[in-house]
Amino acid sequence: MTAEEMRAVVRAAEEHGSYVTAHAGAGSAIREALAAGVRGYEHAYDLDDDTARQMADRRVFLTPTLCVTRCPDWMAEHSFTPWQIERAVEVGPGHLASIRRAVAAGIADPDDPGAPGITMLAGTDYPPGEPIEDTVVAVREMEFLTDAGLSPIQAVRAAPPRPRAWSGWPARPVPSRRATSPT
Amino acid sequence: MQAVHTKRPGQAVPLDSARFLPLQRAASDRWETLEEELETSVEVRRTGGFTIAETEEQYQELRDKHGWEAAAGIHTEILDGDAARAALPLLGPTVAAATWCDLDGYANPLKVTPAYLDSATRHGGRTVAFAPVRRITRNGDGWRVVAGRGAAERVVDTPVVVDVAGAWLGEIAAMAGITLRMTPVAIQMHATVRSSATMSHLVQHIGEGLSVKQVTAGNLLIGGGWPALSMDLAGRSDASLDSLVGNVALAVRVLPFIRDLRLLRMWAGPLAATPDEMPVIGEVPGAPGFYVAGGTYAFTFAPLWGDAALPDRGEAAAGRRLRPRPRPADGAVEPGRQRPRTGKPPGQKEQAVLTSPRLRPTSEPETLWLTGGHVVDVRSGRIRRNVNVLVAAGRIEKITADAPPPGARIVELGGRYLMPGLISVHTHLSVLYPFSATDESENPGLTALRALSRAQDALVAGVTTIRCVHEQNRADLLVRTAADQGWVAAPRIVGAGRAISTTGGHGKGADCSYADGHDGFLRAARQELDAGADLLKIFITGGIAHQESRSPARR
Repeated sequence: MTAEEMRAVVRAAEEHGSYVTAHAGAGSAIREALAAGVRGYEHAYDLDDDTARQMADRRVFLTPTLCVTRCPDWMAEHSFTPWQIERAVEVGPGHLASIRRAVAAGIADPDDPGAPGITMLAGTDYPPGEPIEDTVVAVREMEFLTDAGLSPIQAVRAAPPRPRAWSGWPARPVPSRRATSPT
Repeated sequence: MQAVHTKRPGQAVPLDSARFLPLQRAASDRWETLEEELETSVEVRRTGGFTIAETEEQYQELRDKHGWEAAAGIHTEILDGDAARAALPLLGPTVAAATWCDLDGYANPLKVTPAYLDSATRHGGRTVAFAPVRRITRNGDGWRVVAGRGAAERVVDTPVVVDVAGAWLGEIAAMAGITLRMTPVAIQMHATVRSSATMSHLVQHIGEGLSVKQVTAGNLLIGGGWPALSMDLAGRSDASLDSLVGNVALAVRVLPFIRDLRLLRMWAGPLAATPDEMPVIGEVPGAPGFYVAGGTYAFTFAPLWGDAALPDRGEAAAGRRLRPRPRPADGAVEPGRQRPRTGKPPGQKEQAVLTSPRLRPTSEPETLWLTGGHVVDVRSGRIRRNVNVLVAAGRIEKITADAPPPGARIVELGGRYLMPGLISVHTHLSVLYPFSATDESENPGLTALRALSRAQDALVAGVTTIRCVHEQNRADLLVRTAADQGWVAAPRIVGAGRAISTTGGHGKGADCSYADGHDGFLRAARQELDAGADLLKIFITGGIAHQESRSPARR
């Protein structure tokens, strides 16, 4: 996607008081999307420290979906191809390291919208009620988030801390596009 | 809790302080019990405040106001300039006098609004986001409210409409054919970086537009009702550089330490106002069942305006009525302290707020005790062990050590943990495994039924909210609508409809919306929103599950 295309989608979302979330793997595209005003990021398989810091400065929402790179048995049971499973497992360690870098860049404090930080969210990609091992995917994802450095209560809050009564989801991340890191 | 600006810059009519002060006293009292009623902290800090004067004329205004305050039961103390500086050394040399009021304080607006929404939900209210009210028409003795568009459209038939739309109060009333003389204005606020100095008290100006307070994190918020450059009620209002300079210069004169602080941001927003600076509250004469509440100083006074707008509740708390109001014909139900609005005697009408979806009558209230469990308080991170929970009409009524009354319906938790419903903010309900089984021309009915099956699996697994970030045939929006209409049970769904992808990009073959170029993406995005999407999903890089995406750079 071009920067111009991203800006078009952000503009449409803002016209409706909404926001855009992006399936995103690695750094350069994310930095471009940050500049375009994209507020949410999905997966983030391969973040570098600098991109993670910029994401914290913009107080974005990040949904790692860690389960997609660490559930080979579940994938096999659900007709994923051997190539897809091998690929997922191969990306796995880098994915976890990437999310650890995001956690290290700082977790957003919902009570202090002026301070940098990333709002970490629990997302499953797979249907969340699917059985996996001794639980369901929604719970397994929160366990994976603790592997990435969240405390158990932070992982529970990753689903998210104050679900707004009006949407179950904080639809308008703060602050504005002009946000910069405060000193 | 904050004193009001007697004169905003550009304000045509000064506030009638003598008339307003008893209301300030009542509003202050309302804040005293608000956190208890809302069952959460909204960071009410009552640290007292100074209202300062710089000229002899302003000093006289302070003395007049002090007299009215005493009459209204508000204790204030007059200090000369030196005494004020002794009490608050941060005050500058131009301060000639001040009044001290220990009732002054503030709350965190980022907490207050969600707390009210949460409380409304606990009391059985429902909120529909992104469904702007489009039409209000008479419907028998009541009203029909149409909100939202496309799949998200809601039609509410209700005996009572309460218009609390702030700066949009007049616009909403106009839909019902009611003309209110509102004069909304946009004003602006300024925030500095965190200051190492601590200013525990509110500082305001009696004669010029200035209020300064320090938030918990250390940042100073500077306001005073300075006008924005432009007001855009449909979008973002622009802040004015002239107002920035005027407001901050005044702040620096009164509180010289601000001079060394860098400005972090400023913002402008619309404010409900009336030509005489007094609020508009109550049932509109000639429009039975249509209530309005709002006007000037809506944050500090909102709890009081809420009491005053509706019958029964207000008089005790407010101490007075703003003007006589007849009772609505058939008992609108009180908001606030009353418990969930279900199971009323047959024939009693439900009250709706503007944003309620279609009302569904409910049967007798069901109460249920969950006993002997551990309750996880997600906000505080604490676990309350071995407690009993009373659930009434689907909402937690109380968490207590008390035993259930004899005859109560009980579910023994046996030491299990009780926590809020789980959420997955990234899921696909309609996905097929393997992906290659996807048929882009599948009948949407079949897609929706598959998605519903997944949604119900999630619900019984304890997942009560999901955000869908691409569904074939916008199945998320179909399931959401069916659940809203009461046909099926499903988690709360926040849906993106179809993801938007480039021609041949990630998502190919998955029934995405495909677009190219600025205009193509703008159109595709607006189509999803028009179909009722709550958010938009795009792909800015390739995925890992498709063999054609090889290089790490494309991940």
